[in-house]
Amino acid sequence: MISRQAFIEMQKSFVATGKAPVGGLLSRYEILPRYATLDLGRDIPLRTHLYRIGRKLLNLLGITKSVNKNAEWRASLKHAPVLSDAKTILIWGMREGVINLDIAIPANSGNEPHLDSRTKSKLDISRQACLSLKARFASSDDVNGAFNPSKLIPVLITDQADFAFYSRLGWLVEYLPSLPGSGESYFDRKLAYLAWRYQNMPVIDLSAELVFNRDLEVFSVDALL
Amino acid sequence: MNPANINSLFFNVNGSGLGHLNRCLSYARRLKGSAGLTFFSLASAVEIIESMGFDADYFVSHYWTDNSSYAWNCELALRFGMMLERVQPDVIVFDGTWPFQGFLTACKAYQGKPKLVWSKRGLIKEGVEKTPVSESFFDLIIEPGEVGDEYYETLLAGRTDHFASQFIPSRVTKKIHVPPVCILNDDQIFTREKARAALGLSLTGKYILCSLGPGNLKDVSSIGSELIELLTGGGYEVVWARAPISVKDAPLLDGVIPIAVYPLVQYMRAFDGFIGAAGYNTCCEVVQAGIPSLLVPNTQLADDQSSRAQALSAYAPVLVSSCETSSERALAVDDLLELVASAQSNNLPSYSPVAMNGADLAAKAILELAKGAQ
Repeated sequence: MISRQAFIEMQKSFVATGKAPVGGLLSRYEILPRYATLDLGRDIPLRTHLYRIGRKLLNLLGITKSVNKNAEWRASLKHAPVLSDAKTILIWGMREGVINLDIAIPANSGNEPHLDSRTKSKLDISRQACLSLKARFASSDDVNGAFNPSKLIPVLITDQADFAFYSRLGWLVEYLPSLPGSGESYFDRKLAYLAWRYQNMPVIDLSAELVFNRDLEVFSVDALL
Repeated sequence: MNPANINSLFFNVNGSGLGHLNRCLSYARRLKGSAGLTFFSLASAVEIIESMGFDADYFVSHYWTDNSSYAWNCELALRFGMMLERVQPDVIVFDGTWPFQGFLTACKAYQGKPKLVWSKRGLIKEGVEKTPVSESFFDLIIEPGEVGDEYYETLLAGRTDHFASQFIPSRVTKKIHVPPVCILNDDQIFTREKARAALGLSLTGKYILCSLGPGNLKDVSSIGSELIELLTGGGYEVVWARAPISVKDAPLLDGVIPIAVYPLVQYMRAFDGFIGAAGYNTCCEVVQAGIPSLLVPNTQLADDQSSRAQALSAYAPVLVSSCETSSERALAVDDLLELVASAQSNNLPSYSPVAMNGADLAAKAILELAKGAQ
């Protein structure tokens, strides 16, 4: 199981090298503008290759703007408003990291009969940690006692499926399942992709002790920015 | 277990409720043991999928994300592409109103050339913008029918080979219209006693179940509050179903019992009556459960919930009301409680049995298509 620190090293590697995730993923699944759709056969058509080379040349000359490869991906959600200059922050919520959290478990509300008590206890630890962190983020926004849209866009990276809770949390969730199949592990491949996609974003633990600077920007104690 | 070594991949969108996921799960449950089954879900309900024994990944829906449609589709193509390369499906089943550009791009770019299925619920309101995606792009179209519908097939002449983007007049897309698609068979629905025990409800209590939807698109809290007051005034305890994909829970009055279970139909016979929106799955489940029900159509959506709800009265003890005003709500609750009293004194009309095996027929068609792909 990968650690938060190992994920951070992957991010740094992408920043340092400028490389995209391996496997040609970005090229194979690139969406072309409609006027350039020139499918000719089963593989990537020759004309598409030529078009892409031509387009790259035009991008290099500054005549056109690159699309898709560097397409901005905003992690914010419509139902969780944020400021226009809000910063994305990744929250490491992997199961192994959560188990050792020292958090009081709330009483079982009894309205999830499909969950056994052991599963519910584990989920309750994660839930409480998320809610504590969310409250901590909110307190950074509570300037003069008034509610402000958040300065932060949290993204939860997790291998725990607790989506009914996440729906209400207001955070983008990046889920890391293990899927059966051959070849490179899906978990590893997606993790590498997320490290590239969010390569410039700080990553904190669910249990991170947070501090704020004078401008109410949030950092973890072991600051990553 | 996957004896035929067939892999199926389900892509469900995130609607106002769990209907799209529900239909995909309905097909998948009938395919268990015949194929490998994996989900790519835009619905924030992955634990539901996994609890049924399937593998799943999640990607945020375009309804929830702040990204432009183009940026979201670009990201979707990449994420779904990763899934395709891992699962290597023989068949992909898309359940949604509008196949996304990112989905189609990924399918075209993937080298495996799987068969494509579009599960496309009908009863769309007139005037709703039609999807520009041609049905001929798909190998099979499944139309989940409404209650009372029977099975029939049509063939669409002239298919688009989606990998070559060539229109081939001699090839056909098969289109099947099936009876209602339900996640459970009738014999899998709990009896009144078993459901009450599972939910921790008293065997002798008087309960009405309310399931007005997640409330993400339509605010259900004000309608719900008034209905709850009327029901408790009528001597009933209210149980409120919390949808997994709600982004915010409606505040509940004291005494209301919240539950979070899936599939809800499994527990419906615990209740003396039911109040719900008139989405596709709710209407199917109301007929299956056979309990007195008040349906409150959601008019904000593309499907014609009013027509659907009105048609149900031939098959189940159902009332329909928009419940938009206080007087409508009061009248609706009075009528519902009268219906409940009739049911309790065995005074309801008998209803003709109706075919509800759409999921079985659809799953059979999907499997045949997948086998042909190998």
